[in-house]
Amino acid sequence: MPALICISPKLEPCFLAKKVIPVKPREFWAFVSPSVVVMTVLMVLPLFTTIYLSFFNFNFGTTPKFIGLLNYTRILEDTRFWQALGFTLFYMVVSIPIQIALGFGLALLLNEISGLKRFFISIYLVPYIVTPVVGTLAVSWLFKDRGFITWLLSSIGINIQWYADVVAARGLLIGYGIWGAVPFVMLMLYAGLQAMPADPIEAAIMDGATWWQRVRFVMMPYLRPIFIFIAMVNIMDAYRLFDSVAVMTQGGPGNATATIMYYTYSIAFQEQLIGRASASVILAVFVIITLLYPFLRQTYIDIVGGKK
Amino acid sequence: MKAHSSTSSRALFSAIAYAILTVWLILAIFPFFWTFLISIKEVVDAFALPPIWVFKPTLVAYQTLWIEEGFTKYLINSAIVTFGTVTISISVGCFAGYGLARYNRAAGFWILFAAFVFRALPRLTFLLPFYYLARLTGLHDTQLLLILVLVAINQPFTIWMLRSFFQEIPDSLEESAMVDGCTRFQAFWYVIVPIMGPGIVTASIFSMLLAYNEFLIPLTLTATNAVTMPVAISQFGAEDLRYWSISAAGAISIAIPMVIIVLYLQKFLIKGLTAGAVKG
Repeated sequence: MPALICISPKLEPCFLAKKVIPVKPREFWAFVSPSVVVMTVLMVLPLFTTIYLSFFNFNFGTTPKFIGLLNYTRILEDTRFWQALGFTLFYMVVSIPIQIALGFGLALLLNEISGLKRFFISIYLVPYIVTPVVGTLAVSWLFKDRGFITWLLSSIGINIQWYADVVAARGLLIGYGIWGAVPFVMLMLYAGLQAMPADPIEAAIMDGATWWQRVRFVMMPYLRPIFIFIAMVNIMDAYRLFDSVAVMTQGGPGNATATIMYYTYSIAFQEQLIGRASASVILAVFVIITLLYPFLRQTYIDIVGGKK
Repeated sequence: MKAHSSTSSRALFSAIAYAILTVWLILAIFPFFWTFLISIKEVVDAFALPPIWVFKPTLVAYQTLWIEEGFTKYLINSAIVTFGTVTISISVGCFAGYGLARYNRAAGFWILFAAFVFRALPRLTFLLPFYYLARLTGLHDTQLLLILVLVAINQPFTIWMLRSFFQEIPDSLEESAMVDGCTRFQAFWYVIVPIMGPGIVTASIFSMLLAYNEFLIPLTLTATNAVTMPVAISQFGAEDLRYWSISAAGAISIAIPMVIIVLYLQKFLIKGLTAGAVKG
């Protein structure tokens, strides 16, 4: 796929008479070393430390004691872990398709209208920009027992205790996730539609394609790389869902809305079992790497294979 | 299909489009509007049912928040952490982004790929050792620690984005400078960086949003001293109704500066989002 926006026509003639001066390895390392050092010291080393700690019985104030795989078996025996993993996956499976469908629908509509585009986009951006904790609080107040939406629903005879009922609490978190992710999806796809060349669409109109046929057979194939990118980002984000759970439901009622990150967090910081939490994180890493494997593979092919 | 039906059906289509877009507009903004109303109502009115629409606005909640609750401290922490994170991650990222955009050998690809994998990992993968080490070294609950961790978490995304912006700039620019006797670094510094302005602004916005909005990192790595606004607001008394108005005032106070800055710089944000899609 060619770069969608990376075309700078004014600079194009520059490549006329050029003699490429390649970047020397020494220069390359000078440029990248600060970043590589930061990532190595602050990400690679902590990752290995986490793996290391996962084999120890370790809390604060105690000396670490090697216990082999016991942390892992404890986690795998813990029903809360499976519940949390199950809810996280359920959350992803339900919310991501809806996020993408809604975002695409709105992007198509934005692409059709003529006026007020900037106004709509500005307002749509607000939930995307605002701190998730703030967004979560704002939405959660509407659904409290004395909240506006709870009241609105009860006035037409629907009484829901959003934070006490398992299905309602899960629905609320999923709904909030969709509400928060749609702006991103919509903007990405809208920008893609804007960058799309007019010719294929005009050709389709000439051939008598209906609006839906144009969307399905011209626009969607063109936007495919963006759809894939969005799916990948949304999977990553949904998998690390923490903020809204911590602020809105604290994993409740019971353990019904605990996500894998919330579960791990509670083990580490409420039960103070750092070793066991490390094992939980490492298991979680395996799951996300598996889920993202197709995307990782594609990225690998794009950057390592594609450019040679 | 018939082309002549277009005018009236187009108008209808357009009307439906506006209607649906307006529905989502209301959904997008209503929670914040409602929070704003809570924040300027008296506590007794804020959660009255049915809701009170006509009332005399009051700034008591804001006064309590900023004066009695000392919210300024959290604002300063958030500002320091955000500023520090943006400055460091963008300067470090610019060098790397340039190097990666121009270098075509295996090492470059591996760095990019590794960064991509790290982007996918949950924050807690890195946070647990930080929590432990920070408590050993006395860095726990300092702004410096938050900045370091945020820079690291942010680095993969930053270098990918800056690399894609550097790739838009043709090599011939720094090459002509180098033919004229500049070193590679001088060409980068005096020729390339000045025209990277928009790309740097875009990457800075994303960095800023990440640092300002982050919750899990300050939640785990601070206690009292370096607490940022999102953590502070999440810990206001949850059950006491009186605190809801103050929380609402806090929520609005946190949201306003970012919404103003980002909407003002909107076109850069959109440019960044689309640059992300290119490499998908």
